[in-house]
Amino acid sequence: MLIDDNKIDLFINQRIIEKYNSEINTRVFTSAISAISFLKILELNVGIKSLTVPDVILVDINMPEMDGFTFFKEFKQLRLLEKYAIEVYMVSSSICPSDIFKAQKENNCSGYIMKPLTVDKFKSVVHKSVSINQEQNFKEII
Amino acid sequence: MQDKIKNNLLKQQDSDLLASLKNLVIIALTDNKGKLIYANEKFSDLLGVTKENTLGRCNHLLKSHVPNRASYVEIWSTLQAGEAWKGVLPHKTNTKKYWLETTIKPLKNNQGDVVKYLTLCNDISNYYSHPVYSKEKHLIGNFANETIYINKCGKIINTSRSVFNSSNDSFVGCFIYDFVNPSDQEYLRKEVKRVFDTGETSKYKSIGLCPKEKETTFITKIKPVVNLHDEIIYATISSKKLKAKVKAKDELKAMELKYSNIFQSINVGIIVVANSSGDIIEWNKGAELAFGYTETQIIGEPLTVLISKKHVATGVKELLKAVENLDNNMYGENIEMLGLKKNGQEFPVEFTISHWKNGEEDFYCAIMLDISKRKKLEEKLKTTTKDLELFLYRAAHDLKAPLTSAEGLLNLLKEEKMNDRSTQVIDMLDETLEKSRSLLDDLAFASIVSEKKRAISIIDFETEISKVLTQLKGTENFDNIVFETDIQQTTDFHFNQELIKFVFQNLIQNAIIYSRPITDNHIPKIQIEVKALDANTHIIITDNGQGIGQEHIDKIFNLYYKISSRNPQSTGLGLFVIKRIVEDLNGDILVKSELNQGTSFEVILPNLF
Repeated sequence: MLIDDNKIDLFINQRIIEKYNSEINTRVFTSAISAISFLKILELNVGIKSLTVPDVILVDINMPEMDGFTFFKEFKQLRLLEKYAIEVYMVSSSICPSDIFKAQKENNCSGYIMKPLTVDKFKSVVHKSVSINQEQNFKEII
Repeated sequence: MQDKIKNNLLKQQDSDLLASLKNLVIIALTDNKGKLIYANEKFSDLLGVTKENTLGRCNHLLKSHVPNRASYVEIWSTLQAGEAWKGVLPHKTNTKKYWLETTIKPLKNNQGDVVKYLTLCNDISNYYSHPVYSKEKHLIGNFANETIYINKCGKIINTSRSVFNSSNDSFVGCFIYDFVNPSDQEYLRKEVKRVFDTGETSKYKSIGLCPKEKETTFITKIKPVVNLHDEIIYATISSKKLKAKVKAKDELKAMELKYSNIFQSINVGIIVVANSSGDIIEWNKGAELAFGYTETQIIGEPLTVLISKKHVATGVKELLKAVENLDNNMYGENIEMLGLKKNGQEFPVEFTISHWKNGEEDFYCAIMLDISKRKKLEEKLKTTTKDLELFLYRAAHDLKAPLTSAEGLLNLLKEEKMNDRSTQVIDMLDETLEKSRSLLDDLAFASIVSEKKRAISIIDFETEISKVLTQLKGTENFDNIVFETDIQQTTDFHFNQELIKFVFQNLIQNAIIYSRPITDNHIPKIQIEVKALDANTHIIITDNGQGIGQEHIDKIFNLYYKISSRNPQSTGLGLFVIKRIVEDLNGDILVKSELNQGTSFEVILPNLF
């Protein structure tokens, strides 16, 4: 799942993922609110084939209306994490230390990725999500 | 027979004469020790003592009449020398005051030894109580430019005309001493004697009494006059007013007026406080305007009434400290305080205190400035700076977003197939984007330098330096350079980790960029020295690279300044930001360089405990 208000960035990320492995399905959202709504529906309707739970969520920090951290808070309240292993990565173009620090403090946040996303960066994301660890400790900044 | 009658007649004459004299003159006879052996009736009457108890008491009587010890000594020394003493002695009874013109003559025997002293007194009180004396006593002023002729005893024998605007008969026969200030009488007496004895002119200053002005200074001149035989027959005495004294007083008054005006006219408040009590003793217009108290209301009040209630304790402490510093002869101290107006309003105020001593008392003068305007501006400046820094940070931050997108797109583009020309362009685009990236990173960093300093931790230099070197590994020429690290530490160094990293990164990066390529004769070297002392740390980066020319060396700390465009990655901000860090924290940065020899940067940073 890719959440970013910038369509171009979404496009770049999609293409990168495609480059890495064209088998991977991506679902994009330009607003965190719509992403939350989707995840709510998902929670109530697990089992429907077309609605699969994402393995990885890449969410941009700087977004209008609802930013990355608020999304993450709301997401944790959905209790999806109790049943499924979902990696959530914060994505940003800034190296603002306060953002990084904030992301570190968040429980269940798997990491912090600096834009632009590259194939190499994505590789490390994927390799980590192979191991099915519910409580992932925070990794270094990719 | 005729001789016998003659003798008898002479004897009779003598005794008649003696009897008459006894009745007219006051006579006393003392032995050579001063003990009274004979006194006539007039003596006992005048002195109010009986014959019986005068005997043996002459000394005391004499003493009591002599005005002071000095004259007493003078009298006795004259007598010891075998000379007669003549002078005027005062005598007071319950009813009257007498003036006695006295002559004391030593009587010698055939061997020349003094056996007795003869005292003769003439009652001249009448002259002294002469109405002229009381009337004219205060008209000394008219003495000026007039001459009076006196004899050896100081008796006026003549005057030049016009003295006292009346006939001079009333003054002839009076003693000059009554016309002079009583405190000067003694001195005048001496001077008159000296003039007559030595024939020298005497000139002296005295303070006289004048009807118009309270006190006037006079210059008195006593000149002896000789006759054809070179004997001094009389002296002239004249007095002149000394105008200078008047002048001095006027000048003093004028000066006081001038300073008083200055004091009052100054717009800033001046409060003068005396030490022992800390009370206000002077107050000017400026102080009244600032605090609202008039002079009458505030004088005598302690200085603390002017200090805001909350700050009285600290305010007084600061004042006392300043006072102590002043007592140790340090210069005027500046103290900031919250002042309290009469209406209860508080306002920030700055004092400068000075100190002086007047005799025994200490005085402190406080000149105060109402700094409320200044304080407001200070606050405004602080907020504006903060706002600007935030703005800069946000701007740098927000600008990055589209840049990272562009980078991402460029990466995708690189994956596509293209010809050489396109590849060239793509590479250049890549470079450009990279430049913008670093620029914005540095800008963002620069804007929050003052924020970063807050997170203080103990710096591990080895780790920091190795991190930086690892990061710079990809730079051109890096592998050829020999790095020497030398860390000397006596204490822990407390600082912000990010700022230290920035300092090392930029200085070392610069050294690498401006190193000379490796040749047979030259091995590029970069020396990293750290000297951590108790109060501060010195970071010295020395290289043997290209060096910096004299024309550049002053400008290298300027914003965006780059010496050469050799390294496209250089943003021109590194040294600017380091300078900002150094200035912000009261450190220092020094650079030494020589073209083609090398450069050395020394950064001194305080230990932030």
